[in-house]
Amino acid sequence: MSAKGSSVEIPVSHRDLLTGPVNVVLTTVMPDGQPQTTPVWCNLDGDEVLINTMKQFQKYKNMCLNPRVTLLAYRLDQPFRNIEVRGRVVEMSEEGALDHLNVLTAMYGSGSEFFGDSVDADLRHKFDPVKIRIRPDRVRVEG
Amino acid sequence: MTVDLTPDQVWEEIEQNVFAVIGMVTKDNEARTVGIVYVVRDGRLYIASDSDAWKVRHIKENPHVSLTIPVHKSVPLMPWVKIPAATITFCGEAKILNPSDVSQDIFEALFRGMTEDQERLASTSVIEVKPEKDFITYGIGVSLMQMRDPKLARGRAPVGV
Repeated sequence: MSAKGSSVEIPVSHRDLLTGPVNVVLTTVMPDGQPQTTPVWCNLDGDEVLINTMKQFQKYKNMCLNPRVTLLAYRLDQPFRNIEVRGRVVEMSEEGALDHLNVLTAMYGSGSEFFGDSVDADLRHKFDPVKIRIRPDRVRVEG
Repeated sequence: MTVDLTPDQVWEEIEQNVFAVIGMVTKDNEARTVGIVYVVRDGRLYIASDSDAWKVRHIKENPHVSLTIPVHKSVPLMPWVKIPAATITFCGEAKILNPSDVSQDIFEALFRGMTEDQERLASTSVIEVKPEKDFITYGIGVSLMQMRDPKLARGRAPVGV
């Protein structure tokens, strides 16, 4: 998939909720039409949201079949100040995915290497990270 | 390998929290999410909502929902140490009820402070969510150190009701 076209703006008032470390829940659509919610880590590139997952995970398969996703970001101590980003997956890339995952690890976790600091280093041989770019179609904020 | 949890362990965590993120799918097959406050009774989650809210409309059209409940974790005496929230995720079936359809106990828990406001109640609905299949957990029933290892931190338990 390529990244082209325009995107709606992420409001300044709520950008901090998409630049971690916060709580972010992604909802994708399963092949049978049911929703699947899963916690993810994210950051921003301009007004586009970057998340990271593994090719082996169900949410990756869901996004391949249906690129329309939504995510809700909030802080646990103030959950009703939140932002919902509804958008489309416009890019799925293994290139640079591990570097991106390490950036997220430094933001959200302890350490700078996902495989080794956040999870066992051995898992590197079992999972293939994928960087996902989400272009917002609509943004809704609360609080 | 996942942590073996009992349904009661997970329900206890759910009952100790009040905030969840609910995911829905619109009639156009698009995902939606919103934060909600719930109360738990007899293996169901209950959520109060304006009757004309979009989540009510979407659930009427597609009752399948998915919820993620965050559970706060922190290192005692060192709250600055970053620990990801533990989570409980499950799918379920939702239905829309009138406030008068729920028991007095649930009604009072949901509408605390507005039980006499008939005008407001007339425009309010109750969403009942019945969890299905399994709870998928991360960091529930494990130590903070074990949360760093997905093999040790992931858990699963049947919904059990």
